[in-house]
Amino acid sequence: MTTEAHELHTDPATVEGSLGGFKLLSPTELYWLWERQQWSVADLDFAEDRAHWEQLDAVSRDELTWNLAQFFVGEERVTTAFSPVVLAAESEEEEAYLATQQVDEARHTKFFSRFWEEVLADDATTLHERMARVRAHCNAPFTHLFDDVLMAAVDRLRVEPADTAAKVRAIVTYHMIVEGTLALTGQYFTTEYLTDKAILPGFLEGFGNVARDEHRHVGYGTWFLQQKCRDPRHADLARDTLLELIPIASSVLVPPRYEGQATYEVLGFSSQDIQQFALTALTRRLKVIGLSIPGLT
Amino acid sequence: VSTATATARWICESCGLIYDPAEGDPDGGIPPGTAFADIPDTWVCPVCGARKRDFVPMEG
Repeated sequence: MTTEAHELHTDPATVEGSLGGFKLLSPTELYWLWERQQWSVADLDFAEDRAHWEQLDAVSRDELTWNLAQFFVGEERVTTAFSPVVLAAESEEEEAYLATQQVDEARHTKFFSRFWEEVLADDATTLHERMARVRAHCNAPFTHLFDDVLMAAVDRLRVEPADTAAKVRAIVTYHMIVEGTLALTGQYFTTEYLTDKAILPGFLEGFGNVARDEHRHVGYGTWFLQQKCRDPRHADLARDTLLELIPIASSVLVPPRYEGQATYEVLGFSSQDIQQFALTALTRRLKVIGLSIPGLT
Repeated sequence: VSTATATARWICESCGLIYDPAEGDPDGGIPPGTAFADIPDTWVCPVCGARKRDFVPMEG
């Protein structure tokens, strides 16, 4: 399999980025893709969602609330946290793409906020107040990953935007772990659940748009790391960062009511299925990048 | 399934990855020679995680 621009401008970086048969879209091509994939939170129709939410049993509602709260808080956190990544762009083309990703994160925050207000009937009057309430649903590993690990990574990049090592760590943390492992896994199983139950159609439409944006972001992160990991020093750093963060990410996926337990279940899916999906997605992507991590299967 | 359909390439609308039946996706459990239509619905793009339904036929 290969990747190439489809109805997009071609870019020499696409060819240069090829490795092992995979050609990834360059930032310029990802920018054009972003232009073609615009959507509006305001256009979503949540009319049926409110009634569906009220009809859910308490366990399902709690599990969905916990699951979606992590998305909501994550999106809000990364909207501002992404600024140092934009400032660390190494070309005007990359800068333009990275700016689109920051816009995406703000749009995703608005999406979850509107869902919380209109479907969960949250009466907070400001986003700040709403975020404080939503944060109460997040577990300790989530808070550590987003408030400590991610913030430290992007803060180092803010101080030293030309430091490639700092950028590699930030991109591994953000694009490979937060988006490429946690978000994509959560989106996959949540979408499966809601589609199977045929509920929350307005949310599903918006969530699908969020997922498509995240896929584009992960495409960028994969491109960036494929370029940088040709240098063994950066490959080692990426590998070490992944080995440090995978256990934390694994804990993030555990619902609070299963804290400390070896197995769990979310929305009818087993911990084995969820963890395997996350690990498989990550390892396949690492192969595209050209990174191998012994023992990671 | 016609020959043209069986050999048609599909592109991921999210990241641009192309599925070529001649190559398949052995790491994803899809042997070379597998037409896109015969891939399980649970298969996802190896780069970005998009679903099978997020792929569209390539023109030309």
